[in-house]
Amino acid sequence: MIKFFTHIKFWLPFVIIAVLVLVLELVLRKGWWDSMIEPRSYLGNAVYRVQALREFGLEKIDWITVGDSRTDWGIEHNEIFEVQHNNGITHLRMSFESSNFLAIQETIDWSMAHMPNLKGILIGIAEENLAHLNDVTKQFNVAWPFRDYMDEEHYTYYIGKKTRLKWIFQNAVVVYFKDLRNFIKDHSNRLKSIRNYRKKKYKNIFMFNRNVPTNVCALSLDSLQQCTKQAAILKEKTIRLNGAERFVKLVCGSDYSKYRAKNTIGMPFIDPQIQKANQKNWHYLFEKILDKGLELHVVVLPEHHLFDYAVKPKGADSLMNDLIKQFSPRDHFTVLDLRDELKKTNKECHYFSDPLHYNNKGKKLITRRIIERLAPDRKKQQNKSQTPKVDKITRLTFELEL
Amino acid sequence: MLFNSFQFFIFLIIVLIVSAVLRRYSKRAEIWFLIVASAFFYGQWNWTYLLLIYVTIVTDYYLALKCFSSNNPRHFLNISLLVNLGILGFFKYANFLMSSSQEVLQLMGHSYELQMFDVLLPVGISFYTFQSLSYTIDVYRGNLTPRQKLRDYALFVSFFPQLVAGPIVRASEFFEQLDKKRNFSFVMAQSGVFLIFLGLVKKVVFADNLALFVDPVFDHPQGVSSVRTLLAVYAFAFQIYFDFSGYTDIAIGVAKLLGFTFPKNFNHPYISLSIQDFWRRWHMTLSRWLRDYLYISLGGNRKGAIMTMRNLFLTMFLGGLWHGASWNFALWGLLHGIYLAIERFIDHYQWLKWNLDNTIIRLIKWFLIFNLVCFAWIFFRAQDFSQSSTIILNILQWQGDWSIKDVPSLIILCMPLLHFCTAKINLSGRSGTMPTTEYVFWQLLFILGLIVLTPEKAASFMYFQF
Repeated sequence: MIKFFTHIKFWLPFVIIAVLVLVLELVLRKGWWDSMIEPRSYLGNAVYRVQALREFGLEKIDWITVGDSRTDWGIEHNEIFEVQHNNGITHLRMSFESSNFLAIQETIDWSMAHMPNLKGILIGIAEENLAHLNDVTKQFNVAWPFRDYMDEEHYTYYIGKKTRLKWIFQNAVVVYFKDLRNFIKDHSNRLKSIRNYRKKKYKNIFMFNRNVPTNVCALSLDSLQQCTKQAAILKEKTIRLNGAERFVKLVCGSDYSKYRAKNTIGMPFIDPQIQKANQKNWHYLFEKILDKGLELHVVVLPEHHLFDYAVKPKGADSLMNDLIKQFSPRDHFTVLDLRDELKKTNKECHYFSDPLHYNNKGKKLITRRIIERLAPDRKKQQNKSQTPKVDKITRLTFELEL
Repeated sequence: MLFNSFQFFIFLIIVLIVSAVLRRYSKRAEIWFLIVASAFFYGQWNWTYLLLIYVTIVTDYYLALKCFSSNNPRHFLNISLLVNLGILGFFKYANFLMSSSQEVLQLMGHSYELQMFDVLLPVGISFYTFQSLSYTIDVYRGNLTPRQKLRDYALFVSFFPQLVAGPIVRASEFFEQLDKKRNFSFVMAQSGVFLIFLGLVKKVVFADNLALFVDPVFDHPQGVSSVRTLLAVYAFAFQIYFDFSGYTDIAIGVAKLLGFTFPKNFNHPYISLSIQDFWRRWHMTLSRWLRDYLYISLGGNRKGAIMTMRNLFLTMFLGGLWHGASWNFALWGLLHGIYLAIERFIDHYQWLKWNLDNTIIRLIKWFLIFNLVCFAWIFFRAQDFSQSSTIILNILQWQGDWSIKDVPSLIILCMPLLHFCTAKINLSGRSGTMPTTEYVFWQLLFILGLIVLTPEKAASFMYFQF
């Protein structure tokens, strides 16, 4: 029997597979598969963005917006682009859904290295970004083209089990695996999707605007007790849940939330290890941007109050305050604190499509606040130019497509 | 612990290495180790129910010894039947019997609410109970000398490759191999590894992907077009075949690596040209068990045509119920009983037989048998009678979109052809003697298939529930 396990018959298939994997790793790292990636996936989102940026001309870019899905879906990037363009600035979207610190930092470092005329960075962050160090395995998909800018010497990306297996998730074969498999399973849909995406790619890539008309007012989310009850009701539902319902079910339906609701236990304090790592990470990143002579504009995004009782550990607010306070005296550093922006309206639920993301109304409000800060004299400029808004956007889009 | 899990892969490697080392020094130590490993394997699902297996083992071990030495062996056989069927009956059929009685009472106008038992069905209980029962019956019939060592018997019943979903091995087959020097040849190892991969491909690549087509139709059949419903029924026929035969292939493969040869459980059932032939090819070890210990015990075909038909009905009805405590399974079994009885009837009256033997007649026969089997599968898969009647009505109404353009539908239509081709190639039969190039080709194909076509959600084996 041992003879068989040492025989060519047994190990040859595995050797061939290993060689194939190695070849595939090289092919993928060379980017030979990049034109076939599903555009709507995390990987496709990043790869197509970089392709578009290169075609557009990296040297033309003055400002970028970075952040996670709150920023990516929650800002009208076309509005920002238009306003900045009126000021003679080319401001493009470099935010990615599902990104956490790793992807944000890699994107910023890549942009600083590849955009020679970069003058400023707008970062959208929320308190929650400072309170957790989430699973980073997905981040290699989210920010794959920027992977070379991972800097473990200065940043702490992982705390916990996944650290040991990180080398697996950094391989191209692993990152591209799902994409390749889905292509094999359904190549006709993929080709259709790529064709469709190419037709309108710049509008999609730079003028991204997600239409989310729904709100969360139908859900009872005033307290953790209400939220857990709501989650229990949603658990019983047999029809497909919408995004907001799925979020509530996931967060408030967990055993931990139920336990806390039952025993009226508040959120715990941030893990000191995570707190230390996050302080160090964000501090070093801000420092690096400012040292480069770039302008740094931090937008502190509002969160649904569900985050206070069910997601965000205690102390996240003071962590954010400390960070802002530390950098406030610095030149080229500005903060737009929108944390209370929605709470003070008393109609918070009208501004969220789910407790994490803003809907059209929320997006409009946040974009307006950012624009007021970026271009306070916008109205004056608009009156001067007398150009209808629609024409301007069309013209800008046309310019971009050139 | 599922055969298609990483956990099992690690478990198997450890078991193979440790048993190989122990075997060199002491056979007894190896047997004890395999018993412990089997207990660990089963305990991963539920440690408490492990006790149940040992109750069965200890009871049947002592009863078989008593049965052999006693002047009144029938007495001990009856106790064995009572204990085994009692445990099986309680855990599997008690709630079913009570809910059925309640429904009957309600029909008669009595509204009496019976309290159901809050028990979990022990995984593989039907399999190990039948295997253990066969031992005491064989001893009673004088076909087998009882084992003197409890450990041998404990391994026979609890041996992990066949513990939860068969194949149902006969005691004589198992002990013969345990007593002789077991075969650890190159051919056994090659065949074992090949069958494990073949089984994984059948389960993960074919069965789990077919489930993605079948489940939505059977879960919500209302409004589904006739063609899609029919395709879902055909797809289920292949899903259950790939699922169960995949499990069996892995079980046989693992057993081969440990030096045991298990009986074949499937032989391309969907190429059958008669229902009798189907049962000679489908779950062969269960068919054999039902024939030897139930059908023959009932009198078989020795007491005239009417009694033969009664025995067939009864055997298949109980065979159906063996699969699950539901009238759906009973009906599935009964349908097969009816099919077999009709076949007997046709066989009896020679003039009814189609004696023409050409390709077209064979094709018609195949088509008829395949569709009859698929029709019965509707009851097997459906949750209840209303769901099965919706499925049947969907097909009969012949409505909705007729087009078959999507790739899964085309693949399902090609399944019978694939089945014929694999029957011709006979991969599992030749697995030990395949030349290097062919062996490497298939293994490569299997591994690539597993990497690329594994669905995101791993499903458990369907026959675990029985």
